[in-house]
Order: sequence, then C-alpha cells, then structure tokens
Amino acid sequence: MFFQCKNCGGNIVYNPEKQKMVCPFCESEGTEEKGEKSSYGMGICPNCHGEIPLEQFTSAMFCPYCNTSIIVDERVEGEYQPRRILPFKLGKEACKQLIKDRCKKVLFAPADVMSEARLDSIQGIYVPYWLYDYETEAYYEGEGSQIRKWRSGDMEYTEVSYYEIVRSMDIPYRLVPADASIKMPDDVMNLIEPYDYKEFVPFEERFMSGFNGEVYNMPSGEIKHRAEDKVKRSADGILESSYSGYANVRTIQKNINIHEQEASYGLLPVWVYDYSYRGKSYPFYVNGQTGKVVGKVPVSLSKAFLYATTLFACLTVIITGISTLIF
Amino acid sequence: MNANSKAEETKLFLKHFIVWLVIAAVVLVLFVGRLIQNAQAAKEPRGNNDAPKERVFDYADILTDIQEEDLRKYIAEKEARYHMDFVVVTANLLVEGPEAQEMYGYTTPYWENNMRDLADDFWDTNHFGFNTGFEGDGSLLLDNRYPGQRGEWLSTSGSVYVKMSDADVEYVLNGVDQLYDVDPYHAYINYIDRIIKKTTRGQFKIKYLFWGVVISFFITLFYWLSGKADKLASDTTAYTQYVEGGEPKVHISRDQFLRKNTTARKIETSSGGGRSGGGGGHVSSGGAHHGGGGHRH
Repeated sequence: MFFQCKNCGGNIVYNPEKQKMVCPFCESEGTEEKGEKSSYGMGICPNCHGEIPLEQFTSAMFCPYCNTSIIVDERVEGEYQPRRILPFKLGKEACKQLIKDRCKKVLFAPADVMSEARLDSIQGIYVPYWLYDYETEAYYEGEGSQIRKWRSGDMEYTEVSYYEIVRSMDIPYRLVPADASIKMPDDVMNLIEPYDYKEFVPFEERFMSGFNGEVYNMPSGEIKHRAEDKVKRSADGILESSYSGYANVRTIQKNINIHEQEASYGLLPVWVYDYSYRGKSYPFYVNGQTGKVVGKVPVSLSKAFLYATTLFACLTVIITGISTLIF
Repeated sequence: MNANSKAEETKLFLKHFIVWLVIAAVVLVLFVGRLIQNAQAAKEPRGNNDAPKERVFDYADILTDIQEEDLRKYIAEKEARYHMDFVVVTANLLVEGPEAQEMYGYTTPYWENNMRDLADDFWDTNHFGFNTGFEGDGSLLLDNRYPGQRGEWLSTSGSVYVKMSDADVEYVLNGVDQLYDVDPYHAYINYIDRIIKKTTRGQFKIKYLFWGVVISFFITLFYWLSGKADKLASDTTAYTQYVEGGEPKVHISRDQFLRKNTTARKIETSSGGGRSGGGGGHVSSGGAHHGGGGHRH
C-alpha cells in the first residue's frame, strides 16, 4: 500500500517535525487516504507497477522507479503486525545537523563527511525490536567497612567499622529492548538507547510512510538473552547503588532471578547515514526520537598531518623566538 | 575533493590556525630583527682607544705567567665577540680601618666602600670601556688578598651596569667564590663567563631551538592523539531505565554494625632553613655611574 493525498493525488508521508501526515507536493496536512491493497503481489509497486527489489525482511521502502513510499501489507499484518510504534520525532534536516555537530568534534574529520550532497543520502528506518517484560528478584548479602581517621597530638588514629549488609528487592522490568534486525549492529543499537517510551503509540501504517522498515528477522526466543543481560546488569547496578558509601565491600552472597513475563514486537525510529572513506564504511546511527548519535568519525591522515605540522612549526618559531628575545 | 569542499577546508584551517599564524609571524619578525641587530652590532669596531691594551693586572702575583697569558687571550676573544671590556685586578692591599684610611687616603675606614672605590677608580682612571672611555661597556673584578681583608669586588659600567640586576651580580660573585681559594684562574674565568651569560640576552642559541623543537614535538603529539581520538558513543542508559515506576520494591534493607578496629601511628615531622645576599649602583669619584657588589672572605 501507499498513502495518497486527497487533494493532489501525490504520495503523502509522515512529517516528524509536525507529527502528522504532510503532502510534500501541495503541502496539505492530514489529507491522507490509504491506497488499496495491491493485487499484483508483494514484489510490485502499487503506484507504477514496476518490479521492486524486495528483500526478505523489508516492510517499507521507496520504489526505485517512482520513489513512492511503499508499505508491504503482508509484512505489517497478522503475525508481523507490531503492537506499538514510536514515530519519528526528528526530521532529516535536524538529523543532518546532528551528524555535522558530531563530526565537528573530531578535529581531523575529512571535510566532505559533512557535505550536503553526502548527508542527503541519510535514510530513516523503523527498526524491529522485541520488547520484554520481566519480574526480577534480587538478593544481596555482604560485609562493608567504613574508615575514620583523626589526629591527636603526634598520633594518627584509624578506626575501621564493619557492617553486615542485606538487601532484598523485587524489580519489575517493562519493555526491555533487543533489536531484531540482523543488519543493525547489536552494540550500536544498545548505545542508541534510551528511547522515551511515553511516546509509544499503537501501530498505524501511516507512521511508516516516508521511511524504510523491517519486520523482525528472528523470533523473540532467539535474542532474549540480550535483554536478560541488560536486566542482570541493571539489577547489579541497582543493588550496588543501594549499598554505596562504604569504603570497601565484600560480597558473601548475591542472587538475581529473572522471570520472563511477555515479549512484544515494536518499531523504533533510527536515521542511518553511511559514509565511505578510502574504501571503508563509517556508518552513523541517529536515534530518531532523542537525536543521540552513534558512530565513529573517520580521520583524514593528510588533514591530521597538515594540522600537526602547522602547529609544530608555529610552536617552534614562537618558543625559539621568545626564548631568544627574552633570555 | 571538489572546489566547494576545498574552500570549506581552507576556511576551517585558517579559522583554526589564524591566531597561531599571526603570533608566529610577529615573533618571527621580531626574532629576525634581533638577529640583524646583533649582526650589525658585531660588526661595529671598538669605539674607545684611550684604554690600555692590558687587561690582567696581577699585582698580588696569584697567577702563573702561563695563566696570565691564557687569561689575556680568553679576555681578548670574549671582548671581540661580546663588545665589552673585562678587567682582572689582583691586589694585596690594606683596605680597612683608620690606618688604611690614613695611608691611602680612603674616604672611609670600611672594607666595602674602599674596595668599591678602588675598583671604580681603577676603571675610570684607565678609561676602560669597549665603546667609550667614560661609562663604557664592561666590568672589572678586583681581588684583594690582604690577610684578614680578603675578598673580591665587581665593578660594572655602561651596558653591563644597565643589564645586570643585584641578583645577577650575586650570581657572578658566587661563581668567583666557588673557586676563590682552590683555583683563582678559573674563578676569574667564571667571572667572565657569568657576566656574558647575564648580559647577552637576545642572542640566538642553539639550545633555544633544541628546546623549541622538543616542547613543540610533545605538544603536537598530544594534539595529534586528541584530534584522532573518537569512540562510538557513551552508554547513557540508566540502571533504572526499564524499571516499572523507576525504582525497585525493597523488602529488606539492613546495615547492621558488627565490630570495629582502631590502630594508631606516630606522625614523623621534619624542618629546614635558608639564607640571602645583594649589591647596588652609585656614582664614582670620577663622576661615572657604576654598578656591582662584593664578597668578603
């Protein structure tokens, strides 16, 4: 399917800044109507009827011929229908600026990593996530020590006090994410968090208009260990912060029991910019809601050499010159 | 790289380095100016032909003939290079007390005043000074070996007087003191070398370039490493990010005191001390301005 503007018939898409459907042709807002389900099957554009290179997990894409934003019906309904979606909040221009700001922090970044022509290739993707709920019991037993020092005359006293530490708590976790896309690197998807879940809404196809999308690449059982690792680290951190303030702590017993309650399927927004430099790929990922940028900026060795040489020459002249003039 | 990118790069480069380049240019101009100035000064001939050729007056017979000759050559070499006179006078004179005052017509009975006057008068009477015979550039070291009244006095004149502070004078005298008893010849060499060190500012020395290169290298290395440093991103997910309600339901939170240990140690203390010294500027009996100072042994 695709969304058409009732006014001009153009392909109307979701506008993140305005948080509504906006026609890029006549600029009408909220004038969308859903096109009919294509009778030609999944691999055919419902607008121009061209054959589209549909990949195994693609749920939304742009037709390579007419550039219509297509949502693949069969991949957003039934078992593939997401329970929830977090709509894009940052538009393309805002995202480009965030990447530029990120690249500016690396002194020796190549100039054209921030060029408009290159940044225009940025793409918005709805990444599939499994979101897990857990009930967790955490128990900790240990011995902590506190140190006090004071002086009296020419003597220094050190007093060490020992305490028994016991903590027991229930920690309910909701919507712990693990991305279900093989294409998206797991470490990057972990770093791109957190999202503000208050902006989750029930799934509607229109939010995907104007973006790419994927369905989950694997069932929830296959990747739940990643969510469980997050829960364990979180529970560890919560326990540790509950007995902070001791100079030293010795653990006697620690138990964290995790019980999975539910796994649900949702879509989260990510902007992706793939920059190639000297035959190597430097992808940047931007959280489509918060704007957090994840990616490593390449370094131009020639630029680094030029800058370093210039600084070296200036410093040598300044230090030698001033030493001669003053001493 | 297209034309736009190149222009952008150039703009970024200049924005980054404009201040450094301007400072370096200014320093370079001043440095070259000073080099030219020094080169021109080095070509200037001796302006004073009233002074005697002799520079070593060993009345106390401290030096051997060979040492005297070597000292003359050393002085001649340094004078030609640095354009200032160096004079060494050794004596065996009564300089303190009413007896000395009566015998030699000193204005005071005091060691410091009389040593100062002797040194200044010797300089003025002989019209020493590289550029002129009155308040000309140079210095004189008077070394008196009279028993009970031993010591040296440094008299400075002209640009040497202007350039040397009290601390510089002390520095020179300390250099003489180090070898005063054991090796007077090298004590006088120290006097000459230290005068040169304290009065030849603005002379390019290879060690400045060496340290300039070394310091610049380490700063640039730090700059290079920090400019390249980058990481994917920081983990900004709080521990309680996915906890329902934002905090756990705590059932037990107990911190029970068990026991305590107390230890004691004695604190070690130590102490230390220090010392200081000085000299000054004045007008001699010949009406010339002199600086300097002395040490009594």
